[in-house]
This record gives sequence, C-alpha cells and structure tokens, in this order.
Amino acid sequence: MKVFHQHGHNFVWNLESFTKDGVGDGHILSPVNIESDKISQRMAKNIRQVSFFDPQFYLPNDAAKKLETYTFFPKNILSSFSTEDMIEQSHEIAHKCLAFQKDLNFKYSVIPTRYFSELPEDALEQLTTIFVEPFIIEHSRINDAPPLLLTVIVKPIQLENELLRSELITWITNYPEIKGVYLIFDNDFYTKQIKDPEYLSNQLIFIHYLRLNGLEVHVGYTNTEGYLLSIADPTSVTIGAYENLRSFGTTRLETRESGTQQGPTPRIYSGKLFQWIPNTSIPPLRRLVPDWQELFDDSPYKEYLLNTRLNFQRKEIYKHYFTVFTRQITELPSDLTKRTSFIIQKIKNALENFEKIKSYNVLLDSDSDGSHLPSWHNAISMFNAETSK
Amino acid sequence: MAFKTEYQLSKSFLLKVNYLFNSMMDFGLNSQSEVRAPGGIPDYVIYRSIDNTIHYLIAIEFKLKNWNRALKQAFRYKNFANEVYVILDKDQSNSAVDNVGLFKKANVGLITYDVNDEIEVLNFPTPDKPFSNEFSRIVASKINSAIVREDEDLPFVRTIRGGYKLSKLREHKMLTKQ
Repeated sequence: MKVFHQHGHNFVWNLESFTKDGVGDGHILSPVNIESDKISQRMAKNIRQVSFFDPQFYLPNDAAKKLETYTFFPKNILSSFSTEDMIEQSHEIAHKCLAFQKDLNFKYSVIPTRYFSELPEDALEQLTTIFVEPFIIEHSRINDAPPLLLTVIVKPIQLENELLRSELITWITNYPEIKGVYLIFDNDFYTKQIKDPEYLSNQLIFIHYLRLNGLEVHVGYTNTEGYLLSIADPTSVTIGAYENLRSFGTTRLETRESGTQQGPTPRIYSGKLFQWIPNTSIPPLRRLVPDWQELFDDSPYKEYLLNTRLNFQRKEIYKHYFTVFTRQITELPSDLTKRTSFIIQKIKNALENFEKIKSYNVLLDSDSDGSHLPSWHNAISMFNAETSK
Repeated sequence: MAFKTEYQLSKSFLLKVNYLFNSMMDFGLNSQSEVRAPGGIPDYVIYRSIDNTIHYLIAIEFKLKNWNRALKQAFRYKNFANEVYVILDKDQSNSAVDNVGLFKKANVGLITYDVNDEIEVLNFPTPDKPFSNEFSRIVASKINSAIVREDEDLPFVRTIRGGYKLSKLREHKMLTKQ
C-alpha cells in the first residue's frame, strides 16, 4: 500500500519530507495552492511521474486563489454555469485538462468531479455528462495519455444506504477505460477522529468492493483512520499537514475575505496512540507519567517537538507525522489476514497506552483520548462479518 | 430551583467571593475573568501579585452541567495554575458528586453552589506547582498586560509558598459547613 502526500497550504513541507526524509510514494497536487506555471519549477519530473494532479473542480464556479491560473478551470472558460453551458464546453475543458496532466508527466489522468452539498437525484447523470464521458472520449484522442483515475466524492448517505451504495459502485465500475478511483469520503463529523463504527466499516466495505472489481483505489484526505482503511487493501492513503487536508471540506477552495483567525492548538502525532496529542497535554505527561517520551515514536523531529514551544505553523509537527505514519503503513504485513490481526493488536496496544496515561491521572479530552479506538475495533468486526457472508 | 444560565451561576458566585475577598484584603488578591490561556479560557482567575509578578494563581471553571467536560477543562488549567476548581450548580451536580473520586485523583477542586447562596466544597485540591513554566509565563503576561521575558523569574512557577496565605481562605466560614 502506498502513501501519497496530500498537498495544500505549505506543500513545500511535503516536498521536503519526500526528498529529504524519503517519506511517501508520491504527491497529490492542489492547484488552489500553486500557480499552473510553477509546478514544473517546484517539482522535478521524476517526482511528477509518481504523483497526480487533482484538478479541484469541486466548486466549478469559484476559481479561488491560484485556480484562476488554470485555463481549463470551468470558471475561467464558462460564461454561465447552466447545465447546457457546462455540457457545451465539457470537451474543451476535458481536453485541456488532460493535456495539461500529460504534458507535466503525471502518473495518472484525473477526471475531476464537482461537489454537491445536497445530493441531487440526478447527480450521477450530471457527472457522467459533464465530466466522465467527455474526459474518457478526450483521453482516447490524446496519444500516450496516462491512465485514468475517476474522482468520486462519497456522501455519508451513499455509504449508509445500500441501494445508493450499490448504485454508486455500479456507476464507477461501468467504465472499463478507468484504471482506478481517487476516492474522497465527505462527512460531517464534528469530532477530530471518526468514532462511528458503522461509518468506518462502510468505508471499508466500499473500498473492498471497488478493489474486487479490479480498480486501484486511492483514498484522499485521510487522517489516522487511513491506517484502519488498509484492512480493505486500498492502493494508497494520504498524509496531509493541516486538518483540512486530513478531512475533506470545500472551505479551503472558496474565495473568502481574508481576516485574522485564531490558530488551532498545536498537536503532536503519536503512532503508539493513533492520536494527535495537544501541546497542552505535554506538561502533565512530562510531570506525571514515567517514560512519557516513549508514547511518541522516534523521528528526526521528536526531540524538538517535545522540548520546544510550539505553534501550529511549525513544520516539524507535520514532518514528524509524515515520517511516523508512513513508517506505520510500511510495517503492515502484505497478507491481508495477517494485516488485520496486526492492526487489531496495535489498537489493543494503543488502548493500553491510554490506560497507562489515565492511571497516572492525566486527563485527555475527547479529541485527544482513545475513544475512537473501540470504534476501529468494532468496524473491523463489522467489516469481517460483512465480507465473510 | 436551578440556575438558568452559566452566567447567572458565575455572577452570583463571584458576588459572594468578592465579599469574601473584601474581608481578606490583606492577602493582596486580584481577580480577572475570561483570561485567554493556552488550552482554554478559564471563567475566572484569582491571583496574588507582588511587584507585578504572580505568586499564586487559582483558575475556576463554572458549569451548569457536563461536569466531565468541566473536569477535563479545569485539568488543562493546571498547566499554569496552582489550584483549579470546577464550580457546579448544586441542583445539577449529583453525577459529579458521585464521581468526586475522579476530581480527587486529578487534584481538581469541586464546589457546588445553589440559588440560596449555599457553597459546598467537596474537594479542596492540594496546592501544586503549575505543570508548565511556558504556559505560566503566557498567562502571566496576559494578566499583567506585559511581555514576560523568557528568562524572567516567575515565583509562582517555582514555589507553592503563595498558597499558604491563600489556604487560610479555606478556613473561612463561608467555605466550611457550619
């Protein structure tokens, strides 16, 4: 299983992690954060060849930030956003977008999608007409274009509702021209970790069925649950720096008035806890828990993180996470049965570590404790029950 | 009858506390509400300040309900406080009272207060040094509206002596059952 860097603000940290620390297998580019003519300057050809470009048509009528530098972005081509207009220009958009990806030597040709806040009944028909068919046709007209990946945003209802789920899987698997899926799970959880075992097991089931159909599955915008998702054998999961790169949302793709915002609490990733620990919990750990440093995995950044005044803009926070999480993925057994047992054991170890913290009277809040881990465990059982039917 | 809002609870309680302070002015106490601190904003801090340096700090969190959340919030304030308290509306405090052991283990104070002005202290925490010098400095600079230099000595992060005089407050009849 591969790990891709999910680019966003300060993607240079991902590039440094990749080139200097040897972390990750490639990158998913974010055009909202880089001008079109800067890509080849910032990323060497050999890096682009193992990476792919997400055209980010999620909000096609808002060419926010650097999206305005991409000639094929819908807002830069269309005068209106009526379905008729979109259909009329869809081939031009598709051709330019695919040629751009090929010319820059990316590993895949990505078919974009748009974001629906509320899923319309004809969502799949719209996506077929505006994106899928024009992109497949134009792809066939470009010599040696890299293989196609279809971007799919999965709404919670499409995971919960079996009918909608099979409709979506049928739609995805209907196109033999497509090599794989760039899968994005859209959710509205207000917690930092996903704690709904049913949702998690449905994610696993969804990935599993796509894999059974012979598709590559690249899961974007994953947080620590990417580790759990490995049970369904996706082709790749992602590592992203800020929270908005570890959980999908359209806010960062919207044009907004700039203003001052309170930065989030800096958090340090612990692979031994499968959790991000806020810097405000470090002092009590230091004072009350013997060998507390052992709760954090080794990395070139650990020493610095545990002994320095942090703010959330410190790149070491994220480079530490990239290093540790990728190592965790690399250590997974390739045999899926062994992998499942291995992960279950790691979850148990993490729960024991949380028990140890508790036994020394250190209190962690619900966004930093181990309350997501029993859900992981249950999700595995539910997934196993479903797939062994 | 219960308090309707957290504001009502805190305002009423603080009136009572201010009365207590007035009778104990010689302790050199100061107070401030809603100090923006790392990891949260305590509803109220009481501190002893000498020569613009803080010698002792108590952080208070008021909650009408959800004592568990309040406990965790108050625990975070131990990064910069010598004592922390959760103050709950007595009418909605049964579950917290049943779990007073958790407050004792975490060394977090628990007080209930009701509309009849009755204060009951269920757990007095042991005075302690704050967990973090760094966070203590940040809070000190917020309170004193001045930048506290890295190397500047802050007595309250080095000693709990300041707690001696303050601990006398605990003997006040308002805080003890008659």
